[in-house]
Amino acid sequence: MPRLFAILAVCLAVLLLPRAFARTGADPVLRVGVIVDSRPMSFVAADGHLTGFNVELARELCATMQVRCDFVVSTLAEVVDAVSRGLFDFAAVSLVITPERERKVLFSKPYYRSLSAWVATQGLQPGAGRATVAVVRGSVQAAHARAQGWKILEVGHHAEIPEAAASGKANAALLPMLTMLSFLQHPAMASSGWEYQLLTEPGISGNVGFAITPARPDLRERLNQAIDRARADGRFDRINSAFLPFRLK
Amino acid sequence: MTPPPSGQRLRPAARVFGAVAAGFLLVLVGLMSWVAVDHYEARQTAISVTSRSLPQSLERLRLVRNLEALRIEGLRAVNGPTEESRRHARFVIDLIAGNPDVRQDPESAMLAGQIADFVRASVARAPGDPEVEREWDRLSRAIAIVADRVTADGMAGITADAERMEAQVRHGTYKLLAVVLIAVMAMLGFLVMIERVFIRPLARIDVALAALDGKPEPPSLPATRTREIASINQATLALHAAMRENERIRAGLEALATTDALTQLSNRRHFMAEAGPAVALAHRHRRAVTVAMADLDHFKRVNDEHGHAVGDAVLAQVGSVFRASLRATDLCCRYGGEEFAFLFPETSLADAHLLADRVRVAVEQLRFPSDTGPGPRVSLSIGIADASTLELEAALGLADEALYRAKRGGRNRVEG
Repeated sequence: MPRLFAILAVCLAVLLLPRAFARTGADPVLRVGVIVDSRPMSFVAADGHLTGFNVELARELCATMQVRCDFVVSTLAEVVDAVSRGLFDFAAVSLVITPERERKVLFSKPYYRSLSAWVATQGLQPGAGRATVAVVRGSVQAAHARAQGWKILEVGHHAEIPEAAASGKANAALLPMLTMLSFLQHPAMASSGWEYQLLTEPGISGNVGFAITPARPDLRERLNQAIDRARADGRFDRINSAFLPFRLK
Repeated sequence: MTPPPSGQRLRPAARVFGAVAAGFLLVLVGLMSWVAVDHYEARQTAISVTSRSLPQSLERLRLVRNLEALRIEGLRAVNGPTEESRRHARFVIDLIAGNPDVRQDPESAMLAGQIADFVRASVARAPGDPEVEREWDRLSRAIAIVADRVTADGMAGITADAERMEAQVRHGTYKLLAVVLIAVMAMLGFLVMIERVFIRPLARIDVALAALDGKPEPPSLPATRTREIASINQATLALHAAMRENERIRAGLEALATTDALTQLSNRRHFMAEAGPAVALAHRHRRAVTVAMADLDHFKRVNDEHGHAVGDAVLAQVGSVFRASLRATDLCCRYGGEEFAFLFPETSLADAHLLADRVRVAVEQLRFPSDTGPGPRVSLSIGIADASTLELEAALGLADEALYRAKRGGRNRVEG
């Protein structure tokens, strides 16, 4: 009888131990890069906690993947290289998928399609000689403006652009469409008389995804599955409604 | 083992049942595959629902939400309190009009374009302009109609999948019922087969074995085409033949043990064994029973004058006479060399006297002609006694005394 108990105990241990290990998992924590001052996608709320469409989406994806995510603040200019070097496992930042970026990092499946918006003082058209265009360093808008030969004013965060506009340092700006939503509501733009145009040129419009370090191809698969789950069970739509006035596609 | 009767083809049961079982399994596998087809298709439909129809429906619902957002932003673009709120609403309307799912639905794309144009045109108009109100009403209702149509589109795919799956499951259920029915019938057929091939023949063999004895009538065995049952039949017939042979031998041995070979009468031991119970039976039912002792007169002289061969012939003839003269119920034996004993059941002393005298006359009239001249002449002295109230030995003793008196009285007579 004692031998029987011993054998049973060993069998139970063999069955249960792998489960115990699995929960701690091979990677218990993921380092997730985010940017701030980029309403409504990622920003610090009045009470001091990090939120925004991308941040909340990343939180839901991590919950689905059953891993803990530590958010690390970076800038748009640095985040792609940081992911490429493996400092972040992935970045919860809206990045247009371009061939240049794809040489450095892996991308999740796209979770919406983005356009860019030109906003400028009345009558000022894209390409006008007297335009000084405010752009965020590291963005595709900045690359496009530089390629067009425009006179540009580079800032570090989206939130700095209204100040630049209000102070007159720039009389135009090129922004992603969703960030434009909060730009138009900024008090500095209230009665500025600035008008917008939607631009659809390739290079500043296209599919948007999260960047993933090339060292973790398995993470891309897991992120894509988590995105599918969130779209299917309504969590994606709930976050959409919390931050945006229409449904992303 | 004796070989089977020629002209009959026998099948070993193992091969027959093996073939039947294999056939049944093949049919069953075929039927299960037939059922599995529906199950597989139902699974495919279920996968289609989760991977295709459901996501498509969700996309349609998101388009409906965007159409509603168009209405909300349209109102705000026309009636918003401040210029930047109206400008913000115009921007959102432009974004929605540029959204891929709006642009890919022709009605929605057209409507979104109309609203964007309307909103831009309304910038120039005064607030509260009735024409603006009328136009907005029309656009607002158009949004509702398109939204309803898109919702119905979204439901159609899932409804079609659900109906298809229901039909597949229903077909699968019918097929499964048919398969169960066929399987049950096959099982019943199998049981019937076992009953006919094994159970019933074995039952008849059991009955035949129970009744098996040495009588010549052969056992009643079942006709069969199964090798194993035929083997049992063969063995049973062989057993019956052996039992018959046994019986024949036993009867022969019994005859040898109870009969005097020369006269073919019972021997003394057998006579005493039979007579005892006969006398007891007569005593029990208070019936008359008589015994007699007989002796051939001057038999020694026959042997001396004519030889033992003639003497034997005489004894044999005398035995025949006794057997011919006596009734079926009478007992008779060769008691000694030329001495005989008799038991006459249901016979009074007077009747026994008559019967004994008849026997005496028959013996007296025996002739034994031969080539060498007239053969010997013999006679019989008989003593009878009533055994109705005596034990057998006592009665035979009395008969013996009567025989002695008959010898002394001149021989060839009946005394007692």
